[in-house]
Amino acid sequence: MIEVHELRKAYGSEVAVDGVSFTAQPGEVFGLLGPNGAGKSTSIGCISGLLKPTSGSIRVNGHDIESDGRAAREKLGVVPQEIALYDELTAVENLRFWGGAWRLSGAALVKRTAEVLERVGLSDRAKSRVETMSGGMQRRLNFACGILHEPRVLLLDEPTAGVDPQSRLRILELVREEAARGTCVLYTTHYMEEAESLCDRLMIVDHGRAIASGTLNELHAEMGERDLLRLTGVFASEEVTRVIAELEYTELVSCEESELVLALAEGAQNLPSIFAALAKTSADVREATLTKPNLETLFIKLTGESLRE
Amino acid sequence: MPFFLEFAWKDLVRQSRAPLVFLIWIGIPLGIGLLLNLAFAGGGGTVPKVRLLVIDEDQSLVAKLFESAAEHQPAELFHVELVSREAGLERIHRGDGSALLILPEGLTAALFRGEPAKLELFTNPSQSVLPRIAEEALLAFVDLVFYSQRVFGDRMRAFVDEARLNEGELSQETLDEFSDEVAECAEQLDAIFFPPLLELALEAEVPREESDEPKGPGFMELMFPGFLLMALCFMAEGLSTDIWRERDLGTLARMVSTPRGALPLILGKLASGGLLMLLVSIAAGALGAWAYDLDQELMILFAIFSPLAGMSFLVGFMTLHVFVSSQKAGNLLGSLLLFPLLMAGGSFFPLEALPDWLASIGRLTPNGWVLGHLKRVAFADGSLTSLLAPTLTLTAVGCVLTFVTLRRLPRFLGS
Repeated sequence: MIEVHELRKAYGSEVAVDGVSFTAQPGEVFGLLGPNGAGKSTSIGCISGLLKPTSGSIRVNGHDIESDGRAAREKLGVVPQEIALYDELTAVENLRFWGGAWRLSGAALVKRTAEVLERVGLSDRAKSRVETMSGGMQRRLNFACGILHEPRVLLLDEPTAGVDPQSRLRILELVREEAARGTCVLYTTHYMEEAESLCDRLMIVDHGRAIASGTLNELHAEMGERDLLRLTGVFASEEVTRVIAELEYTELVSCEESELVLALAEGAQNLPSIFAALAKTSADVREATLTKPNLETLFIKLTGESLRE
Repeated sequence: MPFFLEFAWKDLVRQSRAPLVFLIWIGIPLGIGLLLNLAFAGGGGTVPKVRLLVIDEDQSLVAKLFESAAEHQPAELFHVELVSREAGLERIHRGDGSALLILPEGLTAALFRGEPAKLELFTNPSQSVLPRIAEEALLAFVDLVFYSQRVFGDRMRAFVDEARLNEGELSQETLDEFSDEVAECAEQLDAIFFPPLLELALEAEVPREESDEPKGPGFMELMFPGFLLMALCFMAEGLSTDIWRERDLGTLARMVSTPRGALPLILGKLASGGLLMLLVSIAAGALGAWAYDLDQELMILFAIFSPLAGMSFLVGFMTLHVFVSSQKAGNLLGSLLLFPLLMAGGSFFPLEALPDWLASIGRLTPNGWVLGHLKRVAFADGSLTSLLAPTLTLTAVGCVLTFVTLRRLPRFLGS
């Protein structure tokens, strides 16, 4: 179980994480979703004890990460964003080494090494050096090193970044398996599809702050099942704001000189009225994109920016 | 097995799979040592000699004098070989020999009578310097004979006549008289040609005693501990940069998130580095015992103390790296520190050869201080007791630097 309360991490005047709170339960996959630089990895760093929080508290498996760090880390597994493996060593040598780092030894270590190699589908590459493996294989081995000691809390920092679709599916499957055996999984990603398909609960973060959290259904409800209409062209802010305010079921999300974002119910039917309204202004619409509600539309609705920006 | 030894084993395996770097660390001091050895300690090669073939057709006194003079000149430049006419001509045409000299029949008689005589010298065209030396030497010999003939010609002709009268024998009185005459003449000539610049008044003869003290170490012997320390410093500097690799790979962060923390990582790096340094030090100690005939027991102490010093330098460089913002800055700063320290501390030039003021500064540098102890072990009063204080000092410094490095790691990881 992970309990994070009012976590804040600042580097001088720059605030990386600002007052984030959440609780992740055993057996669930809790997702931290946000663009690059949102503070996801910093949060993971603080939870794993790597970074010292500026303020707030973190408890892992009931132990405070600062005052009782050793006990907190005892059953904590970390799969970092980097492929944290030794290139010159083989898959088995890496697993044995990291198993030793988590106090596994002897027959238990040998047995677990064989088991996780089997689970990540690398038994046939056990004696291959990491430097000779593909990116996907390295990612799977990276994952294997994190689950070798059967952690009760597993921190996954973008574990599928830059991998082939097959390896991605395998890793997502492994994450589900971990959660199914009662592990509390904290999963960070900037891929909405992954978060939607994998996470039981989610927190959307941006610029270090939590902007929404809940189950997928709760987040969809927050979106109000409204479509998102993104228009690009030239827009006069005051005029556009005035005419859009007169339209029913339409909410102005953001209006800039070159982009207008609207949230609207039953978007397809309401498109003619929106274009008619805009025609009364000096707006010049060049492109229109209508999106069904999902995490990205929620993110855009909340921040006015695309998730991948 | 303590976990830091597992970590050390991991680092050793990694090093063994990329051995080139290790060879470079050892190769640079070895290369410098080899060059200095060739430059200052002599290469042990033989000096080329003038191979002078002589056909002695006279078989007389002057010919014998020439042979003897050529063989016994101080620089031992000549190797004189008496040969027959046929063999001599055939060999010089074949290029076997630097020059061929023919001493003609009747040479001695002609000299005593003041009559002209002809010497023939054939030189080997395939050689350039050695035949010229033979030519110059022969000209000098001819000049010597000419002036001797001018000065002592009358006396020598009288000897010939006396010998002829006494059936080839000269009386002792004649020889003594002639010797005195030659000595007196030489003394007079010496005053003219070599006037004294300084006069030495010898008032009492100082008896020369054979010293019982052992001879001091030679140049290369003095440099050899410095070369070892240079190799250890290069290794320390090179191995310390692995902390950046661990950071960039993410393995350092992963290690910190384990219950064991980062201490075994640092200790493992020190242990693996120390083991590599021990191997190098043992090899250097064995070389010292073999090449310079140094005491074997002292060499064992030498081989144990050296890696301890190397490990202190390793943790020192690691501390430096965790305080800088990039590996590039760390490498630059490391090199900026390393090379002046090696130069001032006696690894490139022996402190014994530096001016006193510079040597005093050199001894204050960390490596100069270590080198002083290494030399004391190797050449002077090395003992376990004498190494106790420096060993404790190095251990204490190493512990402090390890602590500082560990304290700095979170910021190093976050930077």
